[in-house]
Amino acid sequence: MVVIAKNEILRHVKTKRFMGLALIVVASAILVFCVPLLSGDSYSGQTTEELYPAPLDSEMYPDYHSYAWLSHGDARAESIKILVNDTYLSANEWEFQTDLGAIVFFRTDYNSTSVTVSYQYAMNEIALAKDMLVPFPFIIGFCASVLGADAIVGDIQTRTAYLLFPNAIRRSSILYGKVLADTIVGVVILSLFFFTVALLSFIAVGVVARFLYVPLVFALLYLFMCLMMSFAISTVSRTTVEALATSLLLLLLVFPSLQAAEASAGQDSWYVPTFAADAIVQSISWNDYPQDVTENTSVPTYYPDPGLSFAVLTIYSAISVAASVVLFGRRELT
Amino acid sequence: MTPIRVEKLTKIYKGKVRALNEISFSIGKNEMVGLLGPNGSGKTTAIKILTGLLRQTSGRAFIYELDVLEDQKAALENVGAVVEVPEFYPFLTPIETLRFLGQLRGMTESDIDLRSRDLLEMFGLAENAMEKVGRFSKGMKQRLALAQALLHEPDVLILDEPTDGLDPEGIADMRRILLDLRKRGVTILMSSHHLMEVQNTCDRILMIDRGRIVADDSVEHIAQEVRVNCYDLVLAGEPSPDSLNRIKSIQGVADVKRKSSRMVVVDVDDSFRSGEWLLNEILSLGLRVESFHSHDIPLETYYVQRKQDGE
Repeated sequence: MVVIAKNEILRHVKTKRFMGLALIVVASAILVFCVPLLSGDSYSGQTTEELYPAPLDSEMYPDYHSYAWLSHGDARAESIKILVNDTYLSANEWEFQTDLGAIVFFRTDYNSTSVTVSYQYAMNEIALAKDMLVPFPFIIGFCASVLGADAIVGDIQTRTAYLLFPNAIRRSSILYGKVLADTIVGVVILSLFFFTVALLSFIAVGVVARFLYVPLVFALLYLFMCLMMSFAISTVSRTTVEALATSLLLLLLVFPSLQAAEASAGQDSWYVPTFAADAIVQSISWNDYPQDVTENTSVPTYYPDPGLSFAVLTIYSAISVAASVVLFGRRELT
Repeated sequence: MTPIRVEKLTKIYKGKVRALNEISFSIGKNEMVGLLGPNGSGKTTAIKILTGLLRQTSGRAFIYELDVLEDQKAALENVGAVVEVPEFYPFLTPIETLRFLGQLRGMTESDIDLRSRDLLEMFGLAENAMEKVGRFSKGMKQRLALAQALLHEPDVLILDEPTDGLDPEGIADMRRILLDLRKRGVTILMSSHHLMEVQNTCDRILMIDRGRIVADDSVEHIAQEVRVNCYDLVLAGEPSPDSLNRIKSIQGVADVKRKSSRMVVVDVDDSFRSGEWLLNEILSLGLRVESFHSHDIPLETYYVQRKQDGE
């Protein structure tokens, strides 16, 4: 098994597949990170902006008579300085709230008055990591397909199977060796992604999300599940292209479509692997995990339950491994 | 224990094409058997079942009495195989390829190094030992395929068309190596569709056609049975129409055709005695003969003869 695994890793390295996937993964993280910067935004800094407060007459805020929105939702409250008519307002003249966005409430009605505000802002490290994690399940599905779909049928198509299979070695050992190799390569690529996310987060906001390792655990499990599904497909496919197309179709189209259909019908799609894989994104807020919104709404919003998602991904992995072993054992070289 | 034994082996592809039809044979220790048959006769199917690449529909295949289907790992422990023309990992050198396969077969590093050097030398690949196999020609790959089959010094060799892609020199080397292996007690089953190749190396022929064994006999016996039906004759001068008619009148000659100015093809029928007798008859007509030899009989013709004999 180890001999097969070593050769398989070498194959990924020599065929530049490993390098290609690593580059795609790192580039995608950098791209997601750079999009706001390219549109003129920044993750942290100091800004001064003109506010045009609107009058406020609400029972909810009886002490305040006008309000204005700040352009950066991640303003640091302690850094806010407000200047009206060349005079700084004292802290008890206003209040900053973030419940409904970054809003400054004024005790005085400054409607039609020019108000200048300066403040420091820095995006929350959890929000930043979440933004970068959003496309990651899709990327995992892609990487697993590229690695796994070729694993069995690739040897048959290139005829290296005629060298490998007529040996005193069990088919299952060949399979496990390939699984081990692809998992190692996948883990390295995954780790590169998380390292990139952590590095960019540190560069952008000076801190790394505390629970970044939790999405990593879910990502590893989802990667393994995707790999095993691709392996199972590879054992019954006639060509690498067929295996790759089927695997991509299943992981990137069929499951997400099923998930979307359930969501639009207001149903919880807990059993769909891509829904379970959303735990990769949501679990970054581990100590403030989002709750399902089912009341007072026309279309309920469901979030994957971490425990259930873990179980779902594990079950899919186990079924795929069993299917791969059986199908590969029966695969003939006609 | 019998090195190779096959019992009522049947293989039906996709429920329709019957590639093997209850064939049975066994190959004793130190035997060198040629599995002969035209393309599509079922010989590669039989070899693939024996090497665990295919699953039979019914029947059983044994290597040293171990069922290949049920216990492939143990059954193939002492088998070296070349099935079809295998491909190699193009990024590996021959040395790395042999190391990989040696490790896979549980050999020690020192054994792998020693055997690899010997085999690459034996198959004329020593100078290419550090080149990537991806750059190898078909013939070089075939020689490497044979080298890997011998790496772990197996007791049984199963070779599918082993001379495919080899040049004449390679074929001669291969014949020498196979004969040498047989001397050392290795049991060999090789498939081929070249009668001459099998005649020159094997001591027994299993002839297979449309999934059935149509002949199982010693090479010597089969060679005696082969009926030559055509001779090429090159005369010293251009033969006259009268000379051709006189050749045609020889007993057993069915037809005489001019192929070129001095070359004549003589077809013979069932009443024909022998090539030596025919040559003497032609010489007795006063014709000067520069060369006289029989056509190699196409194997298909021999099958037809065998089948007709059977019917």
